Parts: sequence; structure tokens; C-alpha cells
Amino acid sequence: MIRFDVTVTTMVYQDQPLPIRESIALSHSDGIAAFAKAGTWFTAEQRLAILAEARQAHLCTLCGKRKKALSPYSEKGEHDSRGDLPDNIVEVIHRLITDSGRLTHSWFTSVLETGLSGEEYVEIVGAVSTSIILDGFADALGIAPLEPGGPVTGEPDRVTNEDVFDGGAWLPMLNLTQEMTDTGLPTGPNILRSMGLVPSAIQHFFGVMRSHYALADLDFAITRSQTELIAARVSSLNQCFY
Amino acid sequence: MLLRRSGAKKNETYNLNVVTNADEGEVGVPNETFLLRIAEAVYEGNHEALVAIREEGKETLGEQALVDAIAVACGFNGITKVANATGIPLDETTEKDTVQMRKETKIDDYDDSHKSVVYR
Repeated sequence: MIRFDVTVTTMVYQDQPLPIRESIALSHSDGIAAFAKAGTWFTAEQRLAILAEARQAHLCTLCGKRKKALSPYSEKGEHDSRGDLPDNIVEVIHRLITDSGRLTHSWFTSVLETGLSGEEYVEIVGAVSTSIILDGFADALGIAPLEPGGPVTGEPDRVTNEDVFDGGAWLPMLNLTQEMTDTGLPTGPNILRSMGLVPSAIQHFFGVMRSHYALADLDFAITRSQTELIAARVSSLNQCFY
Repeated sequence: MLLRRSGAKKNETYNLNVVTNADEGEVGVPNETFLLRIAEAVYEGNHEALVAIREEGKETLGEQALVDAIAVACGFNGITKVANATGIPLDETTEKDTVQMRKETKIDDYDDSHKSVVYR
């Protein structure tokens, strides 16, 4: 008998008091489930630990001190971590969650010098940034955060994507054939290519992000200008140059 | 900043400097005060503010618009982390077309060349 592996999406956010679009519910179902599966560089157990550590970061004393300091690099010490992941991974997760606006290239370089590979770094960035959307959305709506369930059997394939190029970012970017769109951006803007070393990280993050924003044909009950106002303000608060 | 482009399409000019705190006043977008509150509360994870926003938002925006606005804020709170953590440059046309705007809004201060000097 032939057996097929079938992914069944479980619908989340049912029976919530506020109307959550089906596209968002579906993408969040897939997004949270992906934490319980092996990625390209991390096992399911490690990815679940990354999610748990991202949720822990808000309680970290060192991150609290750094947030208040004129420069986060003036505060030394140890993170209040769950203890499931190496220090260099905890550092990346906590800084992303609590103070991403003051990340610098020299910080990035120092993290890689601890032995973390660029590929591992990218997978962490994709996973943590996805968790920020999922948990932030639940928090903002006053509902319980989604839980990924237990780890699914499987191993990371640890294959580096060779189809990348040096596009001036801290990491190699995804190589894409580009066409200009009427939004003024190419079909593959740099943000989409930024995690090019790990295509599964792109899929994980943008699988969720696409239900929250699109450059065209966004079927939301707020206008394009209202959408872009929110986007611009959040970007500014995050000190995001891009 | 695609807000500028969306305004241009409607022949409207928005005060982008307000968005980056480079200026005071109004941007020129309907319900902007409430929308900016959503952006700030989501960024800060401010539970008290979010409770108030959920209550007021049903009246101010309507339920679906409230959820959609929150969704946009949460999405950008995630995607900015990707951008900040990877140091990506601006897309070519954006870089060419926004030189003056970036200077006026002080967005240039968010570039790594500036942050690397300020945050040592």
C-alpha cells in the first residue's frame, strides 16, 4: 500500500470575538506548526526551543538594562534564558525581540565569530521574526498565543542554497530574475531576498507575512494610505532603514 | 516609505516627517491618531493600551478594520526585524527616489553607517 504524507492545516482562531480573516488564520496555522518540524539547519526540538526562548526574552533583566542604556553594547552580562540553547543563539534571539533597531554590522560579525553559521543565523532570524508576528497578533487581540504542539519526526537536511549573490547586505541574498512592478519595487525586493541562504526561512516567514500585507491587491477594510501609515510608523519605531 | 507613493496616487501629500517624529502636526491620513496608537501599542507590546484600543477601535474603525490594522502593525513589527538583522540595502529605485525624503525624515539615521557610530 502506498502512503502519502499529507499536511492538514488545522484552522485556528475559531470563535474569537473579533473577525479574523481566514487568510490570516490559515497562514498562522501553518506558521506555528512549522516550529514543530525540522528546518534546514535546526531540528524540531531546537526550533521549539527558539520559539520558547523568543517568548522568554521579554523577561530578561540584561535586555531590560540594555534597552534603557544609551548604547546596548555598554551593558555586559548574561541573559535570563531557559537554558535550552547555546549562549550565541540566545543572544541573537533576545536582541531581535527586544532591541533590533540598534543591531549593527559589528554585532552581527561578533555573533558569527562565536561559531554560528550564516545559515543558522538566517533560520533563527526567520523563526523569531515569524514568532513576533504570531505572538504579537494574539497579544494585540487579547487571545492566547498559538501553540505548536510536540516535535514532529524528521531531520534538517543542512543543505546550503548556492543560488545567492553579494547584494550589499550582511549576508548573501537570494538570486532572482527581477522585473519592475508598478509599485516602484522589483518583483523580488531585497527584503524577500535577505534570507536567501535558507529558502525554508523565507517560506516560513513570508508564508505568514503575506497574509498581513501585500504591495498590491490587499483586501483589507482599511485604505492603502492607512495601511502604509501603520507600516511606516512601526518601521520608524523599529529604526528600520529599509 | 510607500506612504508617499500611495499619497501621490491620490494626488495627496502626506507629512512624512510626523511619522518619524522629525516634525509635529498631522500626516493627513483619516483616523491617523488612532492608527498611530495601534502601531505604537503593538511595537511596545503595551497590554493596557491594547485593551483600550480593542474597545475604542470597534467604534472608531469598525471591527474588521480594527483587526486588519492590527494585522498590518504586527506584520511590520516582524518584517522590520528581518531587515534590521540582515542589513539589506534599499532597492535600487527606492534608493534613487528617496534621497531627499530620507534626509528630511531622518530615516538616514537608521542606516548602519550611522548606528555603528552611535551604538558602540
